[in-house]
Amino acid sequence: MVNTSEQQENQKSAVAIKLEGVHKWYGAFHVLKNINLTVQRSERIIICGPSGCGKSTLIRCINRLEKHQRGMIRVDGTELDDDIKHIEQVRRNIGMVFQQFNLFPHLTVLENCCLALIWVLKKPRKEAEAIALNYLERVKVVDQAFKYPGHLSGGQQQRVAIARSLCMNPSIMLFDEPTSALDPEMIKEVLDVMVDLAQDGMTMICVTHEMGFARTVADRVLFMDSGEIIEENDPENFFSNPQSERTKLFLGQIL
Amino acid sequence: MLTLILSTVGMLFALPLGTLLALGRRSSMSVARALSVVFIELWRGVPLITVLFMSSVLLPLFMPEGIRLDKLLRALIGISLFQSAYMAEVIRSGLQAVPKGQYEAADALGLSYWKAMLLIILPQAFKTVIPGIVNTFIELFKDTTLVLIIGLFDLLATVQGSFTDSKWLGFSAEGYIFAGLIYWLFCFSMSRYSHYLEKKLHTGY
Repeated sequence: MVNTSEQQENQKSAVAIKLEGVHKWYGAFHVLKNINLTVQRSERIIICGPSGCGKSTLIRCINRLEKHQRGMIRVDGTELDDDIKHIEQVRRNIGMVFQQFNLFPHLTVLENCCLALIWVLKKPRKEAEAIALNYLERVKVVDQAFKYPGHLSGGQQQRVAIARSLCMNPSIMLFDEPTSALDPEMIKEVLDVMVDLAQDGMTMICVTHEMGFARTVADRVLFMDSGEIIEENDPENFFSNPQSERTKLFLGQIL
Repeated sequence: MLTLILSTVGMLFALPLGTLLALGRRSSMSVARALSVVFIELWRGVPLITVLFMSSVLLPLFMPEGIRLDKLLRALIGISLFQSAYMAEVIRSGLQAVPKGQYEAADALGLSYWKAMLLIILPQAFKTVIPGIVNTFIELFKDTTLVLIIGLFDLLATVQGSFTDSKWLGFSAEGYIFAGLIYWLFCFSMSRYSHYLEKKLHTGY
């Protein structure tokens, strides 16, 4: 409703995210080495790789939870630099789902979802609640709206976290190992919601080890190791015909 | 009465000021951080008695001619600043107890620093440190007896004053017990209230 012209312009451009020569160091440790990645609108990307390979760091750079030290990251045409306005603009377009859900424990499920609508997008409470209930309905936890996160199961909490992000109407969703903290029987309910989102045409980058999910939704699978993108391919070829030795070794271990 | 004024005003100022100092000490801005650290360490490094003495004896000497602050007001300012330094450290421990993911979730939703602090971080931090905050309040409440030293008459001083009355001669023990009872009653109710708050704010995490 606000920024209509701006949003339309963003929608027109086919490139949602562009990373060029991105490097990041934690002290002396080189976490990201020359990352180049272009994500088209509505593209679904799965990133996998051994733990500590930099995959989480990579997606956390895309909404500036981590700062990259060299290279360029552009999201919906806005470059991520030290300008707080640019950072806020980018964050408004990106929703993020965390491994540990990170719901606000002192607020009810509904308040969790309404908070940013009211305080960032300045919507009236009534309207915010209607939007929130709509998304809670979509992830099938609307009956829990007035409970606190602590009284929900892990799977329910993660679905609330997804709804909370969707409320902001993001054009891109980042998932950082969304099912890794869940009990096995709850993984499916979260993946179902994510498959649903993917079918709706959401641009998604997902760090996950759920290879079945990767096969179903991914347009491209990226394999990372020691801070580099080693291999990228469509899921069919990625799983049946991996090119590099490291990818073969990794797939051998997890499949 | 004076006891109540001193402690209530002290609490009212110490809480917000202490919160700002705690945020300052954890801030990424080096100036804010340095100022907070210096303030906190300075005030924590001196005993309250010294602060009260300074406020009543030394401060007026440095005041420009013609400007005179009331003795009570000076004591109030001294106590508030002194307590806010302690409060800052209590609240800082609460800020540190809030998981990093909460800060990240607030950032990812696009909340600005102040909105994230006020809506997400501080409510959780305060909840964790209710016992610490109440502890500081109780300390403050009892420390107000020290104003006797600069000639302000609080509850204890008033009770002591009454001993000189010939009609009350020989009842000093009762007087002290009475004063002690009142102090205990106030402190105990504060402690009960903090328990009640903790229970009320518990949301199953």
